[in-house]
Amino acid sequence: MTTATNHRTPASSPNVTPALEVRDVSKNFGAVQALKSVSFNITPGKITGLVGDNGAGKSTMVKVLSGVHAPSSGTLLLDGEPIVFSNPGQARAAKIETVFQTLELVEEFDVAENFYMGQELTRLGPLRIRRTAEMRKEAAVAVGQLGINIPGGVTRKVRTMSGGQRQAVAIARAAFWSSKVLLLDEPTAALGVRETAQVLEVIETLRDQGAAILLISHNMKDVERLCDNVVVLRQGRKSGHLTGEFTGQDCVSYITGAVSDLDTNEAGDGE
Amino acid sequence: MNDKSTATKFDDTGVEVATQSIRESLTFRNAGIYYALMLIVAIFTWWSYSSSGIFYLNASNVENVLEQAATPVAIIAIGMTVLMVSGNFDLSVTSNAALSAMSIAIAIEHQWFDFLGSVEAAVVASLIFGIVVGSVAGLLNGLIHWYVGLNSFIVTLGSLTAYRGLTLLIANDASVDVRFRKELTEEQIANNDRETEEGVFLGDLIGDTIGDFNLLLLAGIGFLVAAGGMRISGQGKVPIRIAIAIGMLSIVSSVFVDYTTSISHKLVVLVALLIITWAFMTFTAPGLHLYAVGGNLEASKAAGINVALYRIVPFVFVGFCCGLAAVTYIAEQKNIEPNLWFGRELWVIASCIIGGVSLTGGSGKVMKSMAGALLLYTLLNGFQINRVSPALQDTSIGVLIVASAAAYVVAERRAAAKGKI
Ligand SMILES: Nc1ncnc2c1ncn2[C@@H]1O[C@H](COP(=O)(O)OP(=O)(O)O)[C@@H](O)[C@H]1O
Ligand SMILES: [Mg+2]
Repeated sequence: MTTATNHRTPASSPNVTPALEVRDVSKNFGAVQALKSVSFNITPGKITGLVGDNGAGKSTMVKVLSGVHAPSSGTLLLDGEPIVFSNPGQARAAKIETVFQTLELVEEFDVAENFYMGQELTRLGPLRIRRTAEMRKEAAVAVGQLGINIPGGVTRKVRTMSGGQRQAVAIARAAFWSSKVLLLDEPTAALGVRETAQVLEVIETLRDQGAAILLISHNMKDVERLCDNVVVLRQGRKSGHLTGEFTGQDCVSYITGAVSDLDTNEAGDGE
Repeated sequence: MNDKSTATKFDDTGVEVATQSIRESLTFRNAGIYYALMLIVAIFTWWSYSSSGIFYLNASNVENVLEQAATPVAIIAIGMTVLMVSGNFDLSVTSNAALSAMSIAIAIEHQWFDFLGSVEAAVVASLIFGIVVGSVAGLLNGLIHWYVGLNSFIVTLGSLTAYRGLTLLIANDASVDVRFRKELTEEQIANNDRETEEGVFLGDLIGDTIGDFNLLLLAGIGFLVAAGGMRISGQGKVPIRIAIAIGMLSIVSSVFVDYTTSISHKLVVLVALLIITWAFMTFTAPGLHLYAVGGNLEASKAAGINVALYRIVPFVFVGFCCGLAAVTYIAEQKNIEPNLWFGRELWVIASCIIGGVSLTGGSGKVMKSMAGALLLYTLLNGFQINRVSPALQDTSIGVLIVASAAAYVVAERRAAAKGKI
């Protein structure tokens, strides 16, 4: 009951306006309905969890929010204003940065080149000559500030890096471009224990700097520790929204369908 | 304090990287093509000298090889490198170049541009027309590939045949003269110039060469220009100094060594195209986006790069290069055959593969493709000078293509193994 009301008015702390509001977003791929009328908010200085089984629609939601996919229906509001992205460049321009599950790094590029890809610093106007030295320096500073250690520095090619280092580079890149809205799709999936701890620390640092963060994870311990509230997706629908005090076990119950706000709602709607 | 420590850290890595990149850039994996070229030149120099007393590396023979390589293979290989880096492929290039050349010949024969008033204007218009035809043919490949979503190998396998067919069609299956029938100038009419009656060939209008130059001097200037480019783009100090040193050395030695030969138009076109493309790919942001799109399309999309643009425009650029190859060729010809350069697209692709361009996109350098083309034509020229039988020539070149590709794969695998451990 409480959770059902919560998801109508998710901003439990009324004095903080959400950075990004998701309203009744649906997404179809032909006959496959990957998202069905999902609503929630992402709030500055908070970490919102997005959990669910494989195929629940989490990555699809991230792709809608980052401008990769246009929603089939529903609206997005950025700082209260309706906004439509027709490509990822527009989402990035609106200061929404994403770490995709597939990371989206170019293997043949070094760290600095991946950092600035698509937004290079240039000189000589239309000739757009790259300011390589400056970009390397800035990227090195940004990486250093997040406490990420990449042996070989920012001129190391991604091709030669481990999974954990790649993930760290992808997160650092997103944080470098935006401390406003960050969408992180399973940022610790490929990591060992120590690397995971490092990445989680980075995420907390970013939250403390005031970023509105959406975190997708399969690790309920991490979710319990980091997330201020958790949206649970099940077969493309929002089956629950946990706020306040909750445990990883609560999340699991929603994920497996043992508990659901939906069923009661649907039953109540008089199917 | 904190700031200072990060700055020092950067300086440390920066220095480390600069020294590393010099050593790195001299590895077989990175410079193998240049070593191979030097080795082959050395072999032919020794072979030619010991068997017939000819100095293989004389200026006019160097010019000869450059000229043989330039049209159409080297010029189109520049475009092909750009296209392959962006993740695509074009099998239709020499059909396209033949179509462009034939379009120019037809425009001249049917006097399409004579309304412009002067022969010079008609010449320029016809040549531009040929380049436009090449570019549009390339664009068509690109549009079909991108918007229909067909693999570029299949699209261009089709246009390879279609563009050749079109060339035969517009040529009426016969060769076409490249001759202006219209009178040249009033002065020539007054002189009753024979050329006026027979018509004028393009070569007569623009001359065969741009004049005699010392190749060492030109190479020296080239290295200094390259050093300037590296300086602007903020490359490390060491490679810039090396380029300056080589440049100065060439210029100084040009005073003592008379390495002079006549330079043809197509060589000028080739070098200009090479330098512009090299600078674009190496120093500019859009140049880097080409590598990004070829290396990881999804990542480029997510980064906000206009991927359609970077996947389609390289096709247009290859077409432009085909048109340019046609222009440089036609300036020296009296007629154009519809089966011009039949099968030569394989040489273009071979140049790129020998130069180490990746077949899957995302890596490749125009300078190395150029070295690849030079390697092929050095072999051909050396074989001819030393009278190797054509069958053995073909066999050797085939072996070279596979061997070089294999060498890259092995070197790549070893580097990957080292990097991971
Ligand atoms: N581009 C696509 N085309 C068709 N179906 C897709 C596409 N992307 C995702 N889907 C489908 O949408 C559903 C949700 O997928 P996804 O969002 O990747 O799940 P999750 O990230 O939660 O594991 C799945 O059934 C998947 O097969
Ligand atoms: Mg997913």
